Amino acid sequence: MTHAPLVTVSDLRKSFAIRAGLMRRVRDELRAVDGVSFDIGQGETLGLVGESGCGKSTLARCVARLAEPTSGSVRFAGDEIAHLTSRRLRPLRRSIQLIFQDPMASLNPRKRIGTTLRDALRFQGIAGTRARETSRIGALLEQVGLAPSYADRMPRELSGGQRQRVVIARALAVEPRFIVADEPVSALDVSVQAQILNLLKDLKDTLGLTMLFISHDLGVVRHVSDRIGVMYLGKLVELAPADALYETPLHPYSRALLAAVPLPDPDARGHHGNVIEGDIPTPLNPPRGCRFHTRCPLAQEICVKTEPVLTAHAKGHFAACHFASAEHGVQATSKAVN
Amino acid sequence: MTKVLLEVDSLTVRLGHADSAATLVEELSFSVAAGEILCIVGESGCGKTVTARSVIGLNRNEPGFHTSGKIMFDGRNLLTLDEPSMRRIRGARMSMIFQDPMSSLNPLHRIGTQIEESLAIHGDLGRRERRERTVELLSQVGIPDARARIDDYPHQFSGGMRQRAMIALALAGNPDLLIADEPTTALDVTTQKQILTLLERLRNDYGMAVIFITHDLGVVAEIADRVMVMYAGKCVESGTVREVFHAPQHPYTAGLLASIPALNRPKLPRLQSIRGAPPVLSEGRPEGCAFQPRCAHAFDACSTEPPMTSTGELDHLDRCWLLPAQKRHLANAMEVNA
Repeated sequence: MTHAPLVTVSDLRKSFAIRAGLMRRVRDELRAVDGVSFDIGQGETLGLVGESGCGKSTLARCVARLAEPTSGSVRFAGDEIAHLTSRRLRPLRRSIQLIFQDPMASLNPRKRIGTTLRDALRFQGIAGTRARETSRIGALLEQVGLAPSYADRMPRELSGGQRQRVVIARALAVEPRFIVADEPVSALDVSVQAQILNLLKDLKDTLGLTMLFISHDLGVVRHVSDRIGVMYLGKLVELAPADALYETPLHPYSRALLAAVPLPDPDARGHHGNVIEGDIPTPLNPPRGCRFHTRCPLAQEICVKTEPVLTAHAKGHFAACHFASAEHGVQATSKAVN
Repeated sequence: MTKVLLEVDSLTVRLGHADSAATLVEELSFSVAAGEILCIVGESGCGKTVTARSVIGLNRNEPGFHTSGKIMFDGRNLLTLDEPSMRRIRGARMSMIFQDPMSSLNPLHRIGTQIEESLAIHGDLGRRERRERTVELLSQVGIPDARARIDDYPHQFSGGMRQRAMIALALAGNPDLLIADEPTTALDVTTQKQILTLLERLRNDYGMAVIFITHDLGVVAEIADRVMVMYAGKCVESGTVREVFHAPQHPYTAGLLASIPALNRPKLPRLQSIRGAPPVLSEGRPEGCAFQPRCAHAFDACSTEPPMTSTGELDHLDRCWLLPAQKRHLANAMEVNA
């Protein structure tokens, strides 16, 4: 799936001003996303993982242009969109759609499902006659596995999984090319989560959608993604094809994340190599050099002084670590798998 | 693990009045031995939290809650105990931690003060000894430099540290039983791993029993001695963690296990999922076996409620009409996928 990239992000940065005091003067700057570059091929799903506060949601909002990046470039289908005005963005909204974690917060509780979907069609000027609208709405609902009769229901009458299906249907209503999904299954029960993941995968295959999929759950990301990026404190520390990341993770942070995931097998207890200590440092004042050095088991002097850059270690497999070597990776995973 | 610490016998919890009352927990029986970790697992609305809150008596004074059955703790039935005696048990013999640490911590008081208060209520230590004990408790749960942090306010702690502070608070009375309601659900995986390790250490060091409530089967496999799977207010399967994970007898347990995109299984094109969604108990429970509408194995007998029956293995029980050979097949189907 390495066609020409649909989305190209280069050196993207987003900072938020911290204001304090009587005059609300800018006292500090929080660099939520600090120089991230990647691209997403046509029809590809790129997964982003990382812990809370690593900047993955901010990154998604910048790529979907819900937020304006502080600097850097976002190219969508060849056009630079990083700094477009909201009016110029309007036609683009049809091509880029978002799905969020909490479907109840994305749906208007006072509108019937049919009305919500009809609005989506109308706002983008692709509605037709009433009858055509209704048949289109029915088709959309069927596409996400709901009966067309759901158009007459209110959001509160639906379960969490059904609501998320409606949110997906609304995103599909405008026939987007690119979907940004920010933790789309995190609020759902396990048995329902599997249904929605299958649905997203089917839609991607049948409609050829390109997706940026964000989750904190490494199992979920592995299931849907072709390639995966791992973020830590606003930086991409590893970017690799999905299988390669799980088989030979190169960055010590990726390995620590993988090791911390509890496996549903009581005999796999203690599969963890080293559990990393401590918490993520504050992004207000990230560590110098490599940002992970304060928690890294491999940290040396060089890590404190020099910030490692994202470099290729195998085909399509990038890591930002002075000590990223396949050997370390192999050791770590053989532990994880057994 | 011989001495039974807590024995719950046909616990039924109803909410609401007369005809409109919903049965949240029905005829639930289980026991916890001293020093044992029992995981209660199930999806939202299955009654796991209501069960835990009934054990520690948090909903006994809430209007609309009707509790019947027996909760035997130390030879006394907690359900018939008067409030002052219950208060002496709560916090001293038995304490509870929650998903959100800010539901236990008062944001306006220093962490140390809150723990000292609990020590003052449940012990007879002097002021200075209480402070020493607080430092001890905080370092025990892994707060670095506890002596310097004792006078911090909750907002000065990170999420993982607040969770630790809440555990320290729960440990202040030196309880025999800790009830943990989704204590790691809001945490990142690396922090979750730290908290699970901590709980296990506390159990080993103090022989404290734990009722651990979660929806995450990975966490269950990581920490449980025994598991109780709940569905629609009833226990559908219980047994040792190995029995339940390696030879699930109930289609719901098997379905849940198969629907997680686990890292230790090969990546499949589609996840197995359970059709439909869990029932909403306020709208009445399904006739017969509550799982029947979603079950792929349902047959005629399922229109009547199956009893809990033994599989013959240790104390592995399940509530399903399928024949033993068919149940074995459930486990085998899992293995094929694994």
